[in-house]
Amino acid sequence: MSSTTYIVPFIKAVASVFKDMLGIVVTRGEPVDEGEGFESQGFAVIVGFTGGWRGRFFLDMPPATAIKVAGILTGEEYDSATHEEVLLCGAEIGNVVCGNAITAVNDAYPGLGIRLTPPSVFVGEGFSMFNVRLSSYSVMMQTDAGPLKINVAVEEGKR
Amino acid sequence: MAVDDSPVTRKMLKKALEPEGFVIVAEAGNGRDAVAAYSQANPDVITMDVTMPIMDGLEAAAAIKKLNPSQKIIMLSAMGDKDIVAEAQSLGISDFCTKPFKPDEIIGKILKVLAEG
Amino acid sequence: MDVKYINPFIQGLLDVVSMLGMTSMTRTGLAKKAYLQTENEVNIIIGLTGEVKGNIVFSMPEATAKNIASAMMAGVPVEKLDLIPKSALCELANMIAGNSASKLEGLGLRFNVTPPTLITGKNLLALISQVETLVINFTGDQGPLEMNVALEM
Repeated sequence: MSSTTYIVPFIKAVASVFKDMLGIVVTRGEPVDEGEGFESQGFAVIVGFTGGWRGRFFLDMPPATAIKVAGILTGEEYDSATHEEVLLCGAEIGNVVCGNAITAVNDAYPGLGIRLTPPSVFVGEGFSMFNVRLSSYSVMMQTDAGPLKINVAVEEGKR
Repeated sequence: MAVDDSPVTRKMLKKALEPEGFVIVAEAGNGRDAVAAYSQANPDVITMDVTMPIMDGLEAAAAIKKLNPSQKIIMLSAMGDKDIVAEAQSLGISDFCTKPFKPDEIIGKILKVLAEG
Repeated sequence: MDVKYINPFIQGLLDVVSMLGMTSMTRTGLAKKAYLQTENEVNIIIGLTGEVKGNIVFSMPEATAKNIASAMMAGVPVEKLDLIPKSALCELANMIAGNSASKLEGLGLRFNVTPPTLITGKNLLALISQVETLVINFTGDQGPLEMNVALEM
């Protein structure tokens, strides 16, 4: 599989979920080889997957974007990205994006049987992710609510 | 009755359905609680998430169908792959809706399912 | 979460660190939290899918991380957490997950494990599950370490 094969279903899922769930249009950038790790913008939603593909998906954004996005989902205003509902909204969006992406992949490649872990959300300043021995690709996407980075780190070669 | 392990989704369902005149008679965060609340709640329709802790939606739907074969259940999921949809259909689920759902979409499905009688 | 499902993880950690020569590690506490709020700079997350679904986050101060990495690399001192020590820590998380998985298989539960991701930073707040998180504290010569277990079962 080409190295960008993994990230394409997630790019599509982010674009369609953001549009359908949030009414936000996402413009996509080009995939970039990330190497072993990257620094977070401050709010990272992380979902793991196993089965035919093994690895992790990251939806990363500045806290201000997370607050805006949560506000659209619940109709409330939050003063911090550490508010429980902002975290839960982040988790839900991560869940739905990955669910959609992986459904498309499982349907396109019967027998892959990819399954997702529950989402987790990390918030802080200056934190970075390191994925050992995984091929990692990022795409920076722009939205009216702020920048979004998506990263997919997958274990190559194994099935 | 709204069954989903994500409080955000349950809130979104409320936001979409209450203005249309629907009443959420009960909520549950996992399959086991859903089955326990079912008889008391006596809902016209249940929206049931598939992936939930303790007991998942497919298992809970099967249990509820056993209690009442004519109970209308709409399965909701971010994971809509063919295996899951097929299993849901074999349980006699009334309909399947993928997340994200548009308010019109879920309202339409609920109305259709209720009209089927 | 039934205690009998937690013990394989506790024992998994203790068995693995002991096999790596860190025999002083013991469990010091067990508590429940809604979130993981940690001052620990080094966090390694591993996800589980299957009959046991959830996330486990190993959390420790940078000093413990360096000491453990050093112990895993035959005692070579670790000045900085760069590529090789980070890989060692990820490998540790992997081994613990694998060891715990075999024990749980003995209880009739099968699950698959994601590769680990190491997250470094200060003052992190993490929501690692929508069910509660069990925080298991350990300490040893290398320093304190936490295993946060959030499983949906």
